[in-house]
Amino acid sequence: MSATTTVETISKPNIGVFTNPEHKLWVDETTPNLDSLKKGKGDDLAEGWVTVAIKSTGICGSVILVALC
Amino acid sequence: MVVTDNHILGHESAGTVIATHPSVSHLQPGDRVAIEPGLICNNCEPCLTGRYNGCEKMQFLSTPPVDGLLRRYVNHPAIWCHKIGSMSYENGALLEPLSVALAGMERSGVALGDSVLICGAGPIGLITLLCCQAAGACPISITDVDEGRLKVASKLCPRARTYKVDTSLSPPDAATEIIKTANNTRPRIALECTGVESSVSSAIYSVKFGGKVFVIGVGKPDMTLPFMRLSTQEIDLQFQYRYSNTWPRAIRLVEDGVIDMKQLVTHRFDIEDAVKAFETSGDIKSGAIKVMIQNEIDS
Repeated sequence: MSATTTVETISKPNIGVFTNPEHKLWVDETTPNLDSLKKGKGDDLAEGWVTVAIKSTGICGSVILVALC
Repeated sequence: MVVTDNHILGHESAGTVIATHPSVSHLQPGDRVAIEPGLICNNCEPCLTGRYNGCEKMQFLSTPPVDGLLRRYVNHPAIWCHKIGSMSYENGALLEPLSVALAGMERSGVALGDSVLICGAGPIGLITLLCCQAAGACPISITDVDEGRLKVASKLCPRARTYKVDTSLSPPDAATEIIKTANNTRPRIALECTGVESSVSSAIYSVKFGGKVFVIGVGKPDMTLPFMRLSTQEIDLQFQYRYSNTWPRAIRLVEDGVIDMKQLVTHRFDIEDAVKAFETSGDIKSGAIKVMIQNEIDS
């Protein structure tokens, strides 16, 4: 069974904000990928799961510690 | 929280549902939701006794190695996507730090008329201040090393007594100064939001006999604390770890205007400028309280 279709026009790739053990910070493509999002199926949506288009994310102090320290 | 590989950050997020698995009935595309970032097993004792924040197999998004929410799109269990109605996405994202504060309020037992000390005027301390104000605590004192943050505290809660921490003072002397700000009323409860050893110690010296120091902040793995002060004053030292069952309460408080966190958002960046956002957030000279990263609407 396929998931229901999306309500937004998706044209931009999915990107995420990364860090690594050297505490470098960068933005890069990530999953769920654009093709699967455009098909309206998410990235193999599991039972009980949804796809959310994130609009706002706050930066927490604990995340700063992970990213910069 | 040690990063051992490439890792996605972020755990305070809100957005719009754009796709659902057919098994999901309570959410549909278009629903605005706030995301609770802990994925639990539903099988261990903490889960089965309602304290799922202690899940033995917790996968908390943004705690390595579990990738976080700072993306344009994420897949997430529907059960942990809370509807936020017409609430702004920023407020939806702020439900997470509000949940931290609410867990502290519930476990510490702050009540109407309680004298309270809040240590730290960062985002958690300031949201805790809003909660204590709403709960009718008085007097409320709040401390920080940064004057700018104390000014924000005064704007959020004009009746709060502020104290700029003098780091050269010993914890007992710091406690003396803190108590002076509250007309020499010792707090019944200190809500410690820094996790800094000297601040925890100062809180211990500040509270009254039989009082409580409730530690919301996280700090270094081992600390030296005034054991005999705790003992002779019968002070309870209590902790929290994240939260459970807080989002519905948090949503009600924001929807009804009881807690207004808008003033905490000082900077906004697009996700493509996320590196600058983190640099701003990590730079105390920037005056940043809560930095928000936003995704432009695609269509």
